[in-house]
Amino acid sequence: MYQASNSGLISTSSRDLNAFKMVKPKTIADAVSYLNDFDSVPVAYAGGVDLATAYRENKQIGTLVWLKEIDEISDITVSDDNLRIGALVTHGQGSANEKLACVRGLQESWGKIANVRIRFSATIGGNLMALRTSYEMPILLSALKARINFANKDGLFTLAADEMSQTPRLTGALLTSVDIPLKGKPQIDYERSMRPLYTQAAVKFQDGDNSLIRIAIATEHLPPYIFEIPERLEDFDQIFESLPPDYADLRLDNNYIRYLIPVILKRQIKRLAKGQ
Amino acid sequence: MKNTTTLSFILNSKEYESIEVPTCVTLGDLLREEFGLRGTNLSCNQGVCGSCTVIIDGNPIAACHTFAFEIDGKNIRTIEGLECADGSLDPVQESFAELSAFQCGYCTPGMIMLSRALLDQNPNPSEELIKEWISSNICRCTGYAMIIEAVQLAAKKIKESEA
Amino acid sequence: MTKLETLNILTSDTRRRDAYDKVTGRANYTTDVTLPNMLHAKVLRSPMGHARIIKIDSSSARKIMGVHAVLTREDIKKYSESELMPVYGYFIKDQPIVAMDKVLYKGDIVAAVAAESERIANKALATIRVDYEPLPAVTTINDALASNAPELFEEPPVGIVPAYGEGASGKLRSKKNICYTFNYETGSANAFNKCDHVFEDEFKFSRMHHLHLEPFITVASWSDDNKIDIWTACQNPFPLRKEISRIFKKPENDISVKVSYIGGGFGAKNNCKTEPIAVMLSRIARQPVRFCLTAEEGFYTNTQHAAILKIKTGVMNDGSLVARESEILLDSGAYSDGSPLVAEKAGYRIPGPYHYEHLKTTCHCVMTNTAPAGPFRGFGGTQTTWACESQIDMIAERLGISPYQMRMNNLLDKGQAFVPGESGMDSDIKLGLDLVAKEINYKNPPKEPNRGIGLSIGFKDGGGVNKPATARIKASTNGDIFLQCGTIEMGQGAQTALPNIVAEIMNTPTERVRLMPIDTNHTPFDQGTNASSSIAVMGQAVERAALDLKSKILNFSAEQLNCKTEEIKLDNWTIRKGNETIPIIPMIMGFYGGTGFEFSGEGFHKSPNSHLAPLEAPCVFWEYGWGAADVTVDIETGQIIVNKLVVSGDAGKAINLNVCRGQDEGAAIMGLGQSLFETMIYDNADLINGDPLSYRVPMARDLPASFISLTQEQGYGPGPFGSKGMGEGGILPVASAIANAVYNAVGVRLTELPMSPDRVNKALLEKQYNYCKQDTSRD
Repeated sequence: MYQASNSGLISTSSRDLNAFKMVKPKTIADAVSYLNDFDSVPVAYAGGVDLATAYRENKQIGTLVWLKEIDEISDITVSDDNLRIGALVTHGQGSANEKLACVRGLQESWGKIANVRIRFSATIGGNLMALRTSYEMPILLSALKARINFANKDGLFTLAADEMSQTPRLTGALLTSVDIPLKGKPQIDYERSMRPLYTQAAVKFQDGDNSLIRIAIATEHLPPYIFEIPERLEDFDQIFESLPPDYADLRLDNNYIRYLIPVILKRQIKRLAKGQ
Repeated sequence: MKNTTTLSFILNSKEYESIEVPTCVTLGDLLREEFGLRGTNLSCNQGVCGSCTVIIDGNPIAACHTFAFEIDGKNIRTIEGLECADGSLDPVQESFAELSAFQCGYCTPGMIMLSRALLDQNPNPSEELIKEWISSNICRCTGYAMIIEAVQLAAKKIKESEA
Repeated sequence: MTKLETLNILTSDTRRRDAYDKVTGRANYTTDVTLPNMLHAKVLRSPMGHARIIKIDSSSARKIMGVHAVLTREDIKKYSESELMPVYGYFIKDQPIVAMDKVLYKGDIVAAVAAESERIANKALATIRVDYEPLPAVTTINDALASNAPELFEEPPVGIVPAYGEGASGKLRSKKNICYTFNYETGSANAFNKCDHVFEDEFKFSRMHHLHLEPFITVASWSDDNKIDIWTACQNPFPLRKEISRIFKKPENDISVKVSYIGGGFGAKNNCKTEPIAVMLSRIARQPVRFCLTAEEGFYTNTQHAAILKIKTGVMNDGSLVARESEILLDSGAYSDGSPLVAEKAGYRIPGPYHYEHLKTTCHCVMTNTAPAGPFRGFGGTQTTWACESQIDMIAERLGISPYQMRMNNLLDKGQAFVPGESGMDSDIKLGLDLVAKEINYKNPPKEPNRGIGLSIGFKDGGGVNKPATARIKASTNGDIFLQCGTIEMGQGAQTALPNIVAEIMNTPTERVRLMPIDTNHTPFDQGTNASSSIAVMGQAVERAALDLKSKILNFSAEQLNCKTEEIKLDNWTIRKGNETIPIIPMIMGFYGGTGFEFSGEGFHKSPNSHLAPLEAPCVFWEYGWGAADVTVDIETGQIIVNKLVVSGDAGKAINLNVCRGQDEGAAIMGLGQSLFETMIYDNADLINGDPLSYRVPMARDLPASFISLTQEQGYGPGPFGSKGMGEGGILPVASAIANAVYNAVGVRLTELPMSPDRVNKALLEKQYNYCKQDTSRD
């Protein structure tokens, strides 16, 4: 449903789409050039469900840039210090891929999101580019200090996962891959049993003898908020007092969220310790 | 500017070549309006409920959020394609019928296709795995328990028929 | 009630009759209807919660190629009152086809267009300009009742108060923004004086949307000779026909309403929804019009009633219930829809299945600037069971009695009247309670920290108020049987149960009986498929029609065979006379000629009118939903984990066990969703989760680790073979059983739904705080 004007709301569907032009680039460079032909009203698409939600909000497609044939963005590769996940990797492929074992808990965490049917078609890139607070990859990736790689007409650039929702730079850019740094041997635990009210990802990074926990919290309506704390900190409850007082939505008040973070975190720390 | 696309695909075991469709048509509308396959029920039209689930290259996908052009070169099965040539029902259909694992029936073709894809990929699914898969689609009538039992029965039937 | 020694047919045939259609995708729904030259309708909806319409300019929309009809208030005004009465509603005719002076909620329909495609219709709508003068919106019960609240309906809409019997009354517009109030009183208020304790508690009930998977949909055709054909997903085609006749000033025999399979209703698909706009657009365009809502629009079309329930209960020290007064406020949304009827039932059901000396109940329908609320599975009984069964446990706790014993001490016995003038209880309620208590291990509960169990007894009257139903059955020369009745197959199994009743009585295989498609032109009258009435009300009409048909055939055969009717029996379309088997077909051909004949039987059922009964006719049957829950509360997060959920209904006699089980389980899981998470969320006038993606309904993964449904067959129902209705009981007890289990587990009482972790946590913190306070005061 979208607001057509001050006059009222109109409920649209796929049937409201005009027939569009379709291009099927095989390389990143070609895709970027299509995405920058703004007169053609380009929309990137690689299957999945996000576009269905978008055109119900009256998004129109001038040229559909079909990304599925770009081989260079569909792989998962691991190096000594980096795990790279191509934008076209679906939730299903990703969470089942053994290469993810380099980040302990990632397969399990990723395998929890959406549902089996959606996991066959929805991609990591689509999940991020939808920029919806109810989507979960930004939560996992923000906690993992992931970097999101883009190509645009000026070349390549990278954003931190938690910067995506605030950047104006996505127009004309193609999300190519996600880098998860392996420095500090990250281990992740994702608590989503309270969804859609609340979810929390915790990642443990080793730094010599010390370890650091990075936490991403989110609600259905709010983007991830990040905390970092030393694991051995005795009384960490007060750290979460720094959560901005307006971090609350219609379902969850700020006090409860502040209260909940350390409750869940203590469990996550235990689970992470077990995983070692 | 040409806003149609030409597709070749297999639909319910039948090969189609050079089918021209507008780019903006969804698979759901293509199946229902062009092929008259009305068993694929459309409901939420945004991929959430799964009523319109069909099997594409072995995977369950909701037809409402899939553009028709995405099936180029692929093999599609709908509820109409499950029955055997002699009119007998697929074991999954048979199990849903036998255990009354449906009520209003609107989600049923989608649930059956979802279950068929599950059993093709995992012939011996645990109850947990069945629950996980069935959690892809909404059934507002049954409370799911009878559906889960029907999938278990279907797995048994398939095994018996192969033995 | 027919008592047969052995039920041959019912026990041998367990499959649903709609199985083949539904597992093969052959089942036809209204969404599958297409007609030549069919147009597609879309609507423009108000962006504001409350506003006066200053001006509508739809001139551009009318010029767009492919647009065949545009409907705004200006088009309505072209018709005289003798041609069009453009408002509808159940008791109160307050909902316009399109908004006239004001819009009353975000989503209210302002304009409609029929065009050659949905896309063109939406493009035309986008050109319509509407000037609004915003008015303050009231979006909660309390806001609407505030002294400075704006009045939603400045002019009183036309409305009626039906006849009520002893102790009951109704009133239109009893206060500002209250469109209807139902009152019931029996016994003397002095009863409170003798009570050892009087407890007053307040409960809040949340609001769900039905989210039936088949959308609201109508295809309407207004022909050149002014006949109206309507194909629609509607639970009550005859009342709909009456309403269409009243709106469009057409004789009812010019209107044909046809209903195929309905893809889920749960109450939403009663009376006018998409029909008036489809008919009106077809009248203008003179072409068939399809009007299919999106799932999002469904949220703006009909919802359950949120409610505030205040209960004051007087009891003796031993836990005997003596008196109860209650005030229920239902959030009825912007138009009355079924609200007055729900108010009757909520007001009437608040006692629960217990005995009192005095009752005084009031239920108000409060109008707010939100989506219209209407019938929803449970129909007021869900709200009252939530409050009533929570309070029973609260009182038991205060008096130091076990909640089980508290119930046992007060439950009405089988046969005991609900209230004076009413019919008696038609189940052994204690038996049902024992059954679920045993299944949940009530006597030997799991002894783990923060784990507890709870009981509840859902209760409602079933079969509607004063509801008539008729059925006709024809048998052809060959013994093929045509069952005609107005019960819609919407998942509840009518297409299985009703033909099976006929087959049993006619002693013929079920496949020889077919329930015929519904068309108000041919189908005998029925008030509607709702109120769990398919078996208990229509079932009795069908049973009588079958008996009528059978006696006609037996009489005919006896005459042909020169014997007494008592000497012969019907057996698979032959006559059994002693050891002799005589075919019927040659007898028919011999008497009626080679072209054959059709025998037909008629059946009718309605509860007798009685002014002694508060609702003017005694209740047809009583529907109970026994529930028990075993939960563990995560005392840190506040999450409730349901380890086991038990529900049980009494089918009386199950015509089909699978169907009964499905009704109980489906209803229970709907109740589970409402208990824990499912709810519509309003931010003032904005519904923020009004789409299937953000509105969370139960999925298979939400099933409790153990989920048990027990179908009882106590045999006391008024329906065929002792049967009773089953459609709603399962939803009723779930929330209160869980709330009671939570109390049992951790000692906190939840009085608001859903019981989300934050609410549980808040209650736990408050308890801790009070405990500490108590502790320090003792020092």
